[in-house]
Amino acid sequence: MKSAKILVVDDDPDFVEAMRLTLEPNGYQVVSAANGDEGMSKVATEQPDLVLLDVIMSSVLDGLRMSQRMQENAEHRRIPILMVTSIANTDYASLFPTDEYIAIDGFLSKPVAPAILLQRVTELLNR
Amino acid sequence: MSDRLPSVWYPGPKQRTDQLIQLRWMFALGALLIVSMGSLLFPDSLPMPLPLAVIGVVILYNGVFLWHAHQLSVYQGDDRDQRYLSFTNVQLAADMLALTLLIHYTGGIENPFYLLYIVYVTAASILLPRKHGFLHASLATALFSGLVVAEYQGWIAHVHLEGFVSPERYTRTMYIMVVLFSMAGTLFVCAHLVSALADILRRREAELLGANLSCEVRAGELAQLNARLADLDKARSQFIRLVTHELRAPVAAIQSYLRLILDGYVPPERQREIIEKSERRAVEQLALISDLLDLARLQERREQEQPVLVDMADVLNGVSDLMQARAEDKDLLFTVEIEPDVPAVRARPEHIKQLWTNLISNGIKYTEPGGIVVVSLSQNPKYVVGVVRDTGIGMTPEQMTHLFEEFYRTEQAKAMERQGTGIGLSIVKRIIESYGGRIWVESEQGKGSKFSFALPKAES
Repeated sequence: MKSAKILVVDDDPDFVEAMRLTLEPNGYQVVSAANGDEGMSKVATEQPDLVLLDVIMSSVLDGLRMSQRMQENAEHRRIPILMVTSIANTDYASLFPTDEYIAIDGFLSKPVAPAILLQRVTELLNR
Repeated sequence: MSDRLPSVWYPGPKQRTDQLIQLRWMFALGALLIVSMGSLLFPDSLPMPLPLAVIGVVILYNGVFLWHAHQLSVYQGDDRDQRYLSFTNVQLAADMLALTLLIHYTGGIENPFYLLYIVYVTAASILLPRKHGFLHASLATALFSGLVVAEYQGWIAHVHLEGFVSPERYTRTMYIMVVLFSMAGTLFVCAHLVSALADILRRREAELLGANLSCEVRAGELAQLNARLADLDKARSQFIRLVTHELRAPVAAIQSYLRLILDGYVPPERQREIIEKSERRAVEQLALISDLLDLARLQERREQEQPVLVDMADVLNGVSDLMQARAEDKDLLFTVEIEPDVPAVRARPEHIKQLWTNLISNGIKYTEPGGIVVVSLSQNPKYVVGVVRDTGIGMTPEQMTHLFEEFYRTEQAKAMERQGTGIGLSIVKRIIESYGGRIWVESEQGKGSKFSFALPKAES
């Protein structure tokens, strides 16, 4: 089986590096983008099997907006999104639109334990 | 004063007019009853058809008044109050005329119902501004005196009520004079007392209205203030959330790296590199915390620390000595041009030092090797002017609008320099504005930026 390709969208290069360190030894191919716009073009060119998405990048809701833009495209809608963010449970709660508005498949809080990340990634890819 | 307050008449022009018209129906009915009773009491002396005709006329014009009142109630012109005032005057005058006629046909001075004039004058004094009360008192006096004198002179026929009083009463000069004098006196005293009372009431009402109004104004001001406080509070909690996020990021990165090393995801040959990256994030975190402390200190604005006279050139020289080395490391041309005799500004020295440091280090940070950073200090009539110009990465107009926001960094800045909290310029702006100065920026993406600021000269 061809190794799955994962797009990491995050403006923190160290977080991208940490994702690489976790995912690459497990046979995943990792590409990255630093903001929503770059993320969208990478989605089109790289055609990833999964997107790991940060919420707050160049603007406060950049990540959320990218997930919504992916929903608008029939092809991109199928790509599962795992949101990984340093938003604490309550901190940014008020910033979030209603639940049905967020087009994501899973949610993890930074820092992410490598084992848990791998488990969620496997789940989403095998769905 | 009362003339200017028609709009606060109690209970309001329309309601008052309606009441007058209603009273007039009752008056007509009462007059009808009394005249009928009179005709029973004095079957031979009362010329029945005439008083009945007067009452009929009253009923008729009351119908006209009713119609006019309706017209007025839907009238929207500016002179609406004035029209109501005239209308009330006309109504009362018509009533007094009708009363005079009725009295004439029912015995003249023999008829004690001439006391009803007092009721009219009272009504006029309550309903109308002060001088109108006196006008109606005069009108009543004139009408009644005219009637009595005309009957006395024989110009019009006198109706004698058979068996009620002595028949020659209306010809007794002395009696007539005393009645007319006491009547006039009563009417004017009544007009004076009642309109004075009504004036006081109207003024009280106006004051109350004014007090209510100023209460409303105050309430409005308070509501505005409240809204502003709520906005500030919202901005503040947003800022705190942003700070929390910014503070979490480096720690989360460090923790992720450490966890990866501990869990054996990092091959031994890369461990040193990852630890170095973690250390860099720790340094970044410390810088962020110290910037945040600076910001907080600026916001506290401790009053006891009085500004002193600061020589801008001295401070700039000190800062540029430190910056020179950094510029040389990056192979930048770094020059400082200071005009002679630039006057002092009133400030705290550490603020001025920080302001130069932040601006110049930004210039050095965001200029590619081989570029130029030029700092200048000069003056215009009111201000000391500082400029930091570089040939660095510059900004788009859109980016410039966010430049002074806390934590804002352009994509290009992030790409060029990992290190940076996005607070430096916001501190600079706060410092300058806290001393009544201004900062502005000109920039073009890819070509460079020019930051200029002006601080007020210290008064000598």
